[in-house]
Amino acid sequence: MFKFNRNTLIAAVLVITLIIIVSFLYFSDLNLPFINWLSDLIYNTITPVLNLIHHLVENIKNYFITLFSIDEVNQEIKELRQKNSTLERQILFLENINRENKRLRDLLAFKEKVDYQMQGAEVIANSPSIWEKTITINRGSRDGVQDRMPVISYQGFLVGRIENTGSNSAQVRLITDQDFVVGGIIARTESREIGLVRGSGRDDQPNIMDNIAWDADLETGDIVLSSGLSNNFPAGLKIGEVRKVETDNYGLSQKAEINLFISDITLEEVMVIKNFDSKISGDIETEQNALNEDSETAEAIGEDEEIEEN
Amino acid sequence: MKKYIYNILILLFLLICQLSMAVIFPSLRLIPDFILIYIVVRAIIFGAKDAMIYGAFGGLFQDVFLTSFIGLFTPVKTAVAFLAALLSGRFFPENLLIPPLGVFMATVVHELLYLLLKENYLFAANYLVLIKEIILPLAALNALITFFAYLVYFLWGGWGISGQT
Repeated sequence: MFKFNRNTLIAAVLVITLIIIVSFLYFSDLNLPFINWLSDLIYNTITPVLNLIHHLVENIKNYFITLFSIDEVNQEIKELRQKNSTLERQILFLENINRENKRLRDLLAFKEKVDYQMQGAEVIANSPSIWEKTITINRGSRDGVQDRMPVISYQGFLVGRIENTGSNSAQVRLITDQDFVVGGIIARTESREIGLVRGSGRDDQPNIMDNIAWDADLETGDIVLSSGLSNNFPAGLKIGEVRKVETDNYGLSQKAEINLFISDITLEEVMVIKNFDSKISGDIETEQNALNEDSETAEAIGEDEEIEEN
Repeated sequence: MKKYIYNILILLFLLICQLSMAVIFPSLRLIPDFILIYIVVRAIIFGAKDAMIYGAFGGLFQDVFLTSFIGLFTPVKTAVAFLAALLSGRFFPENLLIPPLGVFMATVVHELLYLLLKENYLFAANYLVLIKEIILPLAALNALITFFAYLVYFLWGGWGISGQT
């Protein structure tokens, strides 16, 4: 019915052999230096072009935005100048508070909250497949970016983690990807329930938080933060908001639908957390828990006193 | 040799377009698979041998941006190219609807094959929902692009795509 000549058959055999070898390498997770070199070569050749395209598009976009909104820009500059002077006053005021905060922390022997070492990056490419939720950023190993580093948005929302690193660029697996799992914790004084937040694989679908205890106190609208228990992500990064809670595993556990915060923003710029001390994050978590416990104890004492007075 | 380099450069250009689409137009929900369109159209016009080679290359390029070089797109794209080549030489070039139809079917097969080989989707995915909400709209989008691309190619007298200048 379908006639293939000799050359076609030879090519088919060669390609099928190649596929079998490639599939074997893929499924056996073998790490061959030549393949890594070839992969880096292709990746590092394409990403500068993507970077160039991104800058070109941004410049054109900015040019037309400025051109068509010059009055608005002038008005905005005026408003920003006013805002700037107000903020300068506020900074002076906050510096005083910061000094006081440091002094009080020293008095209470609290550990200093360490800021993360971060690297800003621009999104230069998206995923080439609808089933894989990844982005490519314009920072790579030359900027100190390494595999498995957490990535957040400028608003502090968890975006994903670094999956592969090139010399000038890196791939980020997004929190919406089906392969992505992160430990989540409910951020409410009365509830510190933990669970696993899994990607849905789709941008228009909420993520699922499962493995939550059957009697856990979960409500719609609760904020979910990264728990920091896995040491892969720092504790306290904002993930999303609980949309719906339902029973799972025939009532043995609960699961919740999580509306991700990054679904509401356009990912154009992100930040890579290059260095965070999971121990410090853990200490902060412990401190927060201790504070919660203290406040609960204080409330309980207050209630006892009220009862005694009555 | 010149022909292969020329076509590989086209594939790289299409990959760059595919990767940049969502960055330039962030509100786009579906990103057309330009590489698949190119491979299927080549398969229909020039036959299996040609298409399978470029299918393997196109898949490999896509895999570089998802995994560390070797992934699922390489075998899937090659297999789809082979299947699409079954249409080769069986219709008149004037029939403008065959290539879009071929791309439509190839997209459905390509995405389903990818899902079946993908470990975390294989048993967890609701295939009916995915077909209805993602695969069919994507196939329609790819077919629409193919229609216009083939029209331009046809009116242009097949210039360029053969790579034989």
